[in-house]
Amino acid sequence: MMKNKTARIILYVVLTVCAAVLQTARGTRIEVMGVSPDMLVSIIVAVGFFDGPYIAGSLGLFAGVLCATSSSWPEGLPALFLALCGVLCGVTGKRYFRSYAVASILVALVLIFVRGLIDYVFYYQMVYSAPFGSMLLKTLVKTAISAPLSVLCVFAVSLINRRFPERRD
Amino acid sequence: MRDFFHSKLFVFILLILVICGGLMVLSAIMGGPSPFSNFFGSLLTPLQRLASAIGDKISSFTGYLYKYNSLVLENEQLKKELAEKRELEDDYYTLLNENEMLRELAGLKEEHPDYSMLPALVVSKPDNSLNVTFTLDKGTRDGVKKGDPVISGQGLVGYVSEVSYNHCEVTAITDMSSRISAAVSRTSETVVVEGTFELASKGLVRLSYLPVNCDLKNGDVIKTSGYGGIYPSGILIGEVVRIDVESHGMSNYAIVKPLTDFDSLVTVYVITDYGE
Repeated sequence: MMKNKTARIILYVVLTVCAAVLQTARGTRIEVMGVSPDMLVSIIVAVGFFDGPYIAGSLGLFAGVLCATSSSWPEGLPALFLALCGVLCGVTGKRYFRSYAVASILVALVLIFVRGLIDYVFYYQMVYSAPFGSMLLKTLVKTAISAPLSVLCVFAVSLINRRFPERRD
Repeated sequence: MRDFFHSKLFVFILLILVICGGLMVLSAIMGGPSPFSNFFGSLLTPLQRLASAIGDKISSFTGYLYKYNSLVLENEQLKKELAEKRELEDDYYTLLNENEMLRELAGLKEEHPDYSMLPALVVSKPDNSLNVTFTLDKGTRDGVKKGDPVISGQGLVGYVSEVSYNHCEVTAITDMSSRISAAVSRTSETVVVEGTFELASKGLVRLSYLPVNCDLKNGDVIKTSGYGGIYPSGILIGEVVRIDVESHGMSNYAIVKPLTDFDSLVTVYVITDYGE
């Protein structure tokens, strides 16, 4: 049981690092209207649904610290957001949702939108007095372009989860 | 609810809050990224560099695919523009040469009204440093005959030694076989201008068999005498740059620098008829 769990965690960490690298590196970063998609939220949410709040929370914390340098948020805040996302999805997922994959995608998109709102609408509007409409549009674009990648991330997490299942002796 | 505050999950959330709060405080105290952030950032940077390099390679390759059509169009347009510019440039130089040639011809016509002159372009030169023969773009179809004198705006160039339908070969006055009956402009004394192997590479000619008491000075201008049948009289050849005694001591010789610059020769005039 421990062996599969360790393999899963290692693969989740690898997936998170890959996503963090791909969404921030110059040559691989996709940009539409000045915004790039968010894959980390989708991974953390999917891990929360498939593997519960502890692994998802820890992974969220790790992902938040990992991407702190490339985030406009104050340090610690991305980690807090992602860790709480993981815990929330881990707690609610098993209780309220049947299809983890579909739920993961939908919840991930909602959280990406929320993160976008915090990022663009609150931060840029409050600090730089950016126009609200334009910032809202950016948030919507970010959510839209994250959707296909979100499907891929959830699929990857579900694959890892199925390949290394929780054994009950 | 009371159970929640005693649950493992609550402790875990509290731990997250403490860690994140600690990171925020640490970052605020340090006035920049915390050591954790620095550590993870330093781990992430080489991976980002690698991903960027791979991404650049892929995008430069795929760029050819999705930009192919626009690149083809741009290439065609640029080729067209280049061709137009080249044509314009060619026209410009042709007109420039023609203008220069006509100016020279007008001057020469004034100087030698009895000459029938045909302008010609030097189309090739031998790939050695002697420059004793060169090819012109005029031949028998233009009325050029073997033995016709060839001059430039500055002075005598040589004679047509071989002629074909559309081109001819000119042997310069610096050639070793060249012997020209000439005269010193100042004294009208007759001399023979000849080419030598040693002087040909320097673009010079020689006046041989000058009497020891010959009245010749440096700077004297030498011109054709009209004797010998090839060259009409009065065409400038060059000027004396050195006078010396022959090795046997019986006569003097002089070195003449032709007025024609054979290295930059582009346009010449073939004298097809000089009325004698």
